[in-house]
Amino acid sequence: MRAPITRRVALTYVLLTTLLAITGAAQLPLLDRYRPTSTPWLGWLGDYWLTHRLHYAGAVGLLFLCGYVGTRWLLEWRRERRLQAFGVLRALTLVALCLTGAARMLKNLPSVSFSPRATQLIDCSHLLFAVLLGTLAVLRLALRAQSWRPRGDNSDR
Amino acid sequence: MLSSFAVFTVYINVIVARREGALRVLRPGAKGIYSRAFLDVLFQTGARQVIVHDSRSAGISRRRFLTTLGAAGLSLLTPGTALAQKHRSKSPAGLELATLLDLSKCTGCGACVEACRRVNAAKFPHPEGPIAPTPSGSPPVEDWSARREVTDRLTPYNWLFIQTARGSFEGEKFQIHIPRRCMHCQNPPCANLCPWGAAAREDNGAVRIDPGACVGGGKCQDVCPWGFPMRQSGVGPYLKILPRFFGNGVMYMCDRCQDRVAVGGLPACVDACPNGVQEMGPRAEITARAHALARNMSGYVYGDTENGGTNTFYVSPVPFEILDAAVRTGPGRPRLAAPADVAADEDRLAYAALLAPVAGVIAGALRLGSRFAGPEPPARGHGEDADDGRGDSGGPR
Repeated sequence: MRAPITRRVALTYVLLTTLLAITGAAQLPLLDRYRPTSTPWLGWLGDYWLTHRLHYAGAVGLLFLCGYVGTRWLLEWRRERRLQAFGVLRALTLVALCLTGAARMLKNLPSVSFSPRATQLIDCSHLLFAVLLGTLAVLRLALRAQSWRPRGDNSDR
Repeated sequence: MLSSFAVFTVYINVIVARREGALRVLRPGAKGIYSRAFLDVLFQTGARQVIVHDSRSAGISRRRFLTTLGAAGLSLLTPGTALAQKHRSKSPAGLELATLLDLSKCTGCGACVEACRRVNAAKFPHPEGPIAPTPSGSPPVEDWSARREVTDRLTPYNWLFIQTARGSFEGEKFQIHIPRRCMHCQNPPCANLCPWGAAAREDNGAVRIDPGACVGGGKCQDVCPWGFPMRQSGVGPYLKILPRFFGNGVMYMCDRCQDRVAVGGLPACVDACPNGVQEMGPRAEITARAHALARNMSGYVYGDTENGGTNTFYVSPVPFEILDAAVRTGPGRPRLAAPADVAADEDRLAYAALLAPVAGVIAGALRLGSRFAGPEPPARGHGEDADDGRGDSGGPR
């Protein structure tokens, strides 16, 4: 059975997560410190506002994609497929990543402020989930782990 | 079902908001879902009128209402938010306060600078021993501990200094003294972009940096339109992590004497001024007074709209563009230009992000863009296609 999403959707997901990973890393004041921003063509990574806006724009795209694919899965695709534990783990990681990102967006609104400790908790967990999502993606490629399986297929693959 | 869920969610949020004191602002005479009568009926809150929090409007705005509920809802998810409530409660009544500086009265005597240094001396950094540079040399070590006496610019030991502008305007010579320190923005970029949450905006409108959380990356200084925060290397939590590879000290700037204001006092600079240059009060009141003062002296206001609005208002008989050109600027000596609201795009994108998953759900439910996502491929039996949950590139399934 084919994957329910096309390669175009998968490519969009990969591009968005790559954009988010790069612009997210650029939010830490480490790139200036370790000089990648002085590399030709990479100077834009040192512009906090630019990378911040790109991160937000990428988040908008990813949230839309999550809503779209999640809805299609719930309404249609899950009838013939079921998530494996690996798929559940990836989906939960993605949801947690989105929730912590949303919390940070909320904190950044003009009328909302959190304590340093709450903000650190949100930031660190956001970073942790991003690393976990990337690790799971690498594991998927390395181990060819399955995210879903056709319903009724109980074979151990 | 969705509407029931939405009502339940709002109900929970309001309960939490009430319990933690977040639901405090109700506009008398508000209509619709913001009215006291509506909340009373729906949630039996006996909703209390407390104070006007946002001086931009006469009461609660839809934006504040939603963000308050959102913040309260988040408290269900993040245990640390209870700390946030405690943190915020330090401000008396949560009223947004602003300061007004009548520059026509300032003689540049420096009493405010002296008072600031004296009152905040206990907060100043105390680096010990040699400060190790970073391997890349970036950011450079900034050690002001041997130059604590410097008062003609901002430093980690001098959070307020007096800038002097001399020139002529409309054929008359002028000399204007401008006490400079953090403007305490309403939407502070330093607090929004600090990756450690060390910079935060208090409910009373002040912005401050927590020296116990700051690692001195200096991003706040980069994104501040005026570059107010100043770094002192060799102090702070970074020393306990990876001092040569991570962080570089602590950023310091005016916190508008939070400890004094929290107990109903005034910032030291306001209190000490012998000429009554400065005053402090609710932002709405200060805004009105600033504009009235400007009208009376045919003068100009700075701080009301700069960077989207600040809680520091300067009123001068000379246009600020002229003052900006006349003052000495550079590191630690901020300009008087009129920066645009650098965080406005961020807010718009945040609201777009709020709508994006909803739009995605609607599009998914209506199967919009199914050509993009791919029409449901015919089931050809297990094993007929190579892409069986492993082959695609890993989008959310």
